[in-house]
Amino acid sequence: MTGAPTFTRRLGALLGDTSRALIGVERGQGWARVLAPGGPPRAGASVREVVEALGLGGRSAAAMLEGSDVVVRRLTLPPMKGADLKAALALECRNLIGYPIEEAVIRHEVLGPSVQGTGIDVLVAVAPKRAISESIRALESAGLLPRRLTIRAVALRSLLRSARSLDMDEEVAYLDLGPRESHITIVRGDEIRFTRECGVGVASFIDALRSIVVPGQGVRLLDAGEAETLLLSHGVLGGGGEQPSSEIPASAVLVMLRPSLERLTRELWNSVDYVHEQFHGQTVSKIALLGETARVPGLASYLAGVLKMPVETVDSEPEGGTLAWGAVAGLSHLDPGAIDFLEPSNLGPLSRVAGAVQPRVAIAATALLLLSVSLPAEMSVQRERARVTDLERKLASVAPYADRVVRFREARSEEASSDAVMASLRGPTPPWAEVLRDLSHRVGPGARLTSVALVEPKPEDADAAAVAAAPGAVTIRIEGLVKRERLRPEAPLGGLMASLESSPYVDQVALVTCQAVAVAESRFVLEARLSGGGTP
Amino acid sequence: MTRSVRHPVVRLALLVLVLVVSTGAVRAVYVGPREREAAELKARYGSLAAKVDDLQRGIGDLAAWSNAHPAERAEATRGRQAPPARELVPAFLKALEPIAARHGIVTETIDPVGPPAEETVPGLSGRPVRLLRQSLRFRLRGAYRDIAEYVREVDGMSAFVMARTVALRYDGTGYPALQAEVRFDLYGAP
Repeated sequence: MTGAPTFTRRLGALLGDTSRALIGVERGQGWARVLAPGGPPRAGASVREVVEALGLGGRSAAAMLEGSDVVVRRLTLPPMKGADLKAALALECRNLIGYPIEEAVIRHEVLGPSVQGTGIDVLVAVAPKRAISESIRALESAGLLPRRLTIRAVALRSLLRSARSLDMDEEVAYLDLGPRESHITIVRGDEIRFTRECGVGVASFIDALRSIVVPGQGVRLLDAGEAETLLLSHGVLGGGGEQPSSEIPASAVLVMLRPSLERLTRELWNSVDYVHEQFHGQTVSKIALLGETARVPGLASYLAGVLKMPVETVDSEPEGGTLAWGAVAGLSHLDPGAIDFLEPSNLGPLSRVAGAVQPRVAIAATALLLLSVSLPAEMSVQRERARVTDLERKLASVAPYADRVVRFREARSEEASSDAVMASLRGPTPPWAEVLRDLSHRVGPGARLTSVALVEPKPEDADAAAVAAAPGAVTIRIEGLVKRERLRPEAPLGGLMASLESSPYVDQVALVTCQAVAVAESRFVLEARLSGGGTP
Repeated sequence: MTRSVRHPVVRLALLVLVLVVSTGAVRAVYVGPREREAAELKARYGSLAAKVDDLQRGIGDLAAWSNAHPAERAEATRGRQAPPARELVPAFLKALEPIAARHGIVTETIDPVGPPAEETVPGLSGRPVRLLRQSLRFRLRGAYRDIAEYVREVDGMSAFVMARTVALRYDGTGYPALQAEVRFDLYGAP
């Protein structure tokens, strides 16, 4: 048996009046493995003992609620929904139980349209509140956390759904043989059609053998252990094989078992007949035995012979052998929305949505959401850090030049300041050196300057004084000699004036006079305005 | 309590509550500080980027200036100085002598033009600058080009000096020598 650390998935508990069982199932991809306990529940072993032995305290557990007070029926009702359906079920259930309806808890599942097509089929389970509270207390006192509380038929259906192959058109009667009683559940595919409890269990066969009539010896009294050994060794119909050393013949055993076998057969036959009638001739095609069938050897052969239909024992497969454990194993596969006495009954659309949300999915979605919230922030910080680090590296590479740059800028700033002051001081005054140089370039070989002087405005000439006072309005008088070509100075003088006009330092070049002073030369006087355009 | 928690709506509400609380907690404990840190890092990045840009621009300017002025130190200042008023004329005359000698300029007369006068001019960014002006009129003799170069060098002195007016005249003797009358304005600290 595997220890607790690997026993991780689900835990099922059977809490019947006369039987107790605890089953853990570890689920993998498409298979399930029964982990504990290995054999049938030991007589007198409490769930708490098993929980402690396996170290399973604190685990969640699903349980089945059984007993004479627990009623399960398939009802056909007119089509209705919600509160109407609940009210109708309450009325119906009053007739099914032997205690006040106020003390009962009703749970139901709508199975679908009825066979007649005029109403709906509903699987209803009724249990006393007291039984539910006791089951919860029993699980809690065993150190388990009660999560689901359902009925055997629902657990069996979950078990069948978990099986790898399920023929949805096959109608099968499952006989779940328990220690004290058995359960007959007829399903078509995974649709529950009928379920009932039958008072014949393994103990019925053992009890029948405790007082056995042996031909030639009279009545032999056996204790429970001896009777169980005898049952295992002989089985029914001698299925266990005749033991040469046995003092009790198989025929004597069969005689003693026959009443219990006939009762079991009758129960099965009645159930099959009932379903045949209710579902318009759809009949059970085979009987499947599960539960503690190994303790009653030859039962399948006996039932097949009497009922004239195939009877098979659902035994353990290499991995999918959970069926062999009976409906208890189905507790580990319960579907959401299945009958559950621990779930409130008034489930609206919101509740259905809520019920459909799996905690693991919710946790995963929450984790994903939190991750999606926090990851961008983290990425943003990382990105900014990387950018800042890059920039710091770049700054470190240029930092050695910082002092030089500061000194350079201070020097240039001082220069700029000095230039600004100088420009303010200079005002409209032209850069004389540039003016002189420019004039010398513009006076060609045909002319020669003899005087360059500022024209001082005369006090009586108000207009000239005003012009001279204007910024940049400095007038200079240029005197010189120009060559006469064929006794005429016009061409060289015109060329000189045009050249001066194109200077960036003078404009408004005006001729004051030109007079011949020799055969080859004329004296000219020009006036021009100095402009600041050429100021460097 | 255990059974009420089992109700799907209560469970859903609890899940939503856990989601909201955990989202809030994550925002408060994890996302908030990181957003603040990211904002601080962004601000720091901006500051660093401005510093790096400024330095790189400065380095570029320095390199360009050094290429344009290969013989000069980039950190050395070339700004003009305003000497104290009492040193204004002596310092100018001392600085003028080698320039005149270099260009063969003959100085015939030096006359002050009026008394020293205070002037206020706008400096860089409009800040007023107070200076003391002293004007000197020089009568010189020299060739046209020499006089032009002489004026250019005086204009380029490291002091606040400029040729305010220049007049040239050929007096008919010793061509190419011309007679020049130049007025220099000198500016010093008041």
